[in-house]
Amino acid sequence: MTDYQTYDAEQLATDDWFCAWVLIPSPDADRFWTDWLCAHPDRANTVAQARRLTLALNEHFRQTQTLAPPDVVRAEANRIVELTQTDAENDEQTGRQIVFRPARRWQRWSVAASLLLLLGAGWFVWQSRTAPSTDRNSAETIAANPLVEHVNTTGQTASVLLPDGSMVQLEPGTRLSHPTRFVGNTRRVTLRGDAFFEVAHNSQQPFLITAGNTITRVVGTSFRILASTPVVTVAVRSGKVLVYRTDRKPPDDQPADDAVSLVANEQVTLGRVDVDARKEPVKRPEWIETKATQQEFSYDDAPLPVVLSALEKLYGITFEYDQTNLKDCPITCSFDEENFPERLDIICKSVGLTHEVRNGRVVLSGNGCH
Amino acid sequence: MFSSVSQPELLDAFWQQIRLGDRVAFGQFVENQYNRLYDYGHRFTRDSDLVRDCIQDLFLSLWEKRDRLPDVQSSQAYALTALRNGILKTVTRQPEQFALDGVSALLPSEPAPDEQWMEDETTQTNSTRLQRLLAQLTDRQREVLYLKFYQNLPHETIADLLSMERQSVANLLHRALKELKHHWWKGVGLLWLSQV
Repeated sequence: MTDYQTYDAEQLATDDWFCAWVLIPSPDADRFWTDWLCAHPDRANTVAQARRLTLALNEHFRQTQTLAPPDVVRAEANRIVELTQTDAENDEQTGRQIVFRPARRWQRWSVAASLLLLLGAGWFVWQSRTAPSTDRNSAETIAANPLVEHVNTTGQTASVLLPDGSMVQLEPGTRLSHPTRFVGNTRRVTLRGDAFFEVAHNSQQPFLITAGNTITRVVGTSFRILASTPVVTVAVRSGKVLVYRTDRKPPDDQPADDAVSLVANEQVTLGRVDVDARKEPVKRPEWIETKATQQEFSYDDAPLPVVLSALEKLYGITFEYDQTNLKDCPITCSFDEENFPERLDIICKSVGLTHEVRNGRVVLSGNGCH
Repeated sequence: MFSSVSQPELLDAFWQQIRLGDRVAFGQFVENQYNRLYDYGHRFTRDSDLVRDCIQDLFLSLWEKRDRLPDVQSSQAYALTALRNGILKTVTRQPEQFALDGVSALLPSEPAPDEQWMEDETTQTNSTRLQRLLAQLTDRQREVLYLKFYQNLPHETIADLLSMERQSVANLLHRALKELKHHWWKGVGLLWLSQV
């Protein structure tokens, strides 16, 4: 424990813990310095002087600062990230990047005939690129489980299917990265931009999204994260979601004590600066709407392929399954609030199928219907 | 105040992701760090294009070196050092910009005579007063105060950045603050400084 009693104002002012208290108030620091002042009332004047010095200098430098506007910073950051990709293409070893690009006209016509159903959901050609990794310590784990990065450069929403069956709809300009397989105690992804998440339920392996200055933690639910700017909004459609600022707690697997807990139709906005998070009703209904939530999805004794192609169209994904074996399986279902992973689970269970995600497709397997 | 300094854990989380080759995290890191570097660069030169170019170069080499920088502190120290060296190297080669070298640009130009006449002691802002006092310090003292109270860097990082010993940084800061306080005490700031 530092003996602050012997400190003069100059020493206090340059102490990291003291500075942090003055410039970036936190409950911990407040408690410590209030207690300390109570115990050492004779130091009140010294503390006041140190506070004034710290605040005055910080204020002075802020008044003379030269900052680039947020949109310029964003554009520069994007440009710099793009530049790192030039050398990325040379490395075959690890990671890949999937870019959703606007389709070219000739491609559109040639594929349109066979993939007409995909057009409704917006379709994308994808390219895969490799990302370099020179980290020796983790080279093995990366080689075994490289990161995949998705970039939506189209003007439409693009669907990404995660390895656990969770579905993410990326708005234009949004980036998402995730490991090829989710191993360990958590499922972790990084988001930049706006996206709607439909997370597959797994209480053993919480799903954590790092975006802006926040971590959103869920076990299975649907919600939108708006993280195009450092001010992050999380709006919940169903289930329960925990949101917390990453600066309040080391980024381990446990949520912070001051995490905001959200349920359906609630949202929270966490700002860049230390502003208390306020829970409120979802401001704009379209934030928690997607095509799938707006459309009726109800089938009575319909053949499996019909139901699956409806899902393909709705979510912009592809199923792989044995057509001959499963084509006559009858499906009866009616979906409303169920998210994609739940819908998939219900359909599979009703005809005794299992599902897994391989190369961005849902692969169904089973021995025909009961 | 930069939020980045209030979020060491967040930045470290980003940095660990970056080391795994996560470009999404890298983009957020660049965005988060951009303005602190942009401002530091402008304390040496008013040439925004130069600052922009230096920042781009340093981030690209930061990306390449990411496996050699184990934590976010080392990456930040690397970024600030690369920026400082990059700008000073270029500025020295261009004599017309040399006048702004050595953090003299830490202080904006003196107010015009008119404004000075208008401003009596009572209307002066604390910042203007402080600016006068800062002008009496050396470049190095000013820079060290800037690095401490604006960039919020720990003594160790400042020491690395300025190629000094940690203790020398502490001494330099202490002396600079003592001088500031001393002058302030003599002037009108007595009441202000003792306010809680």
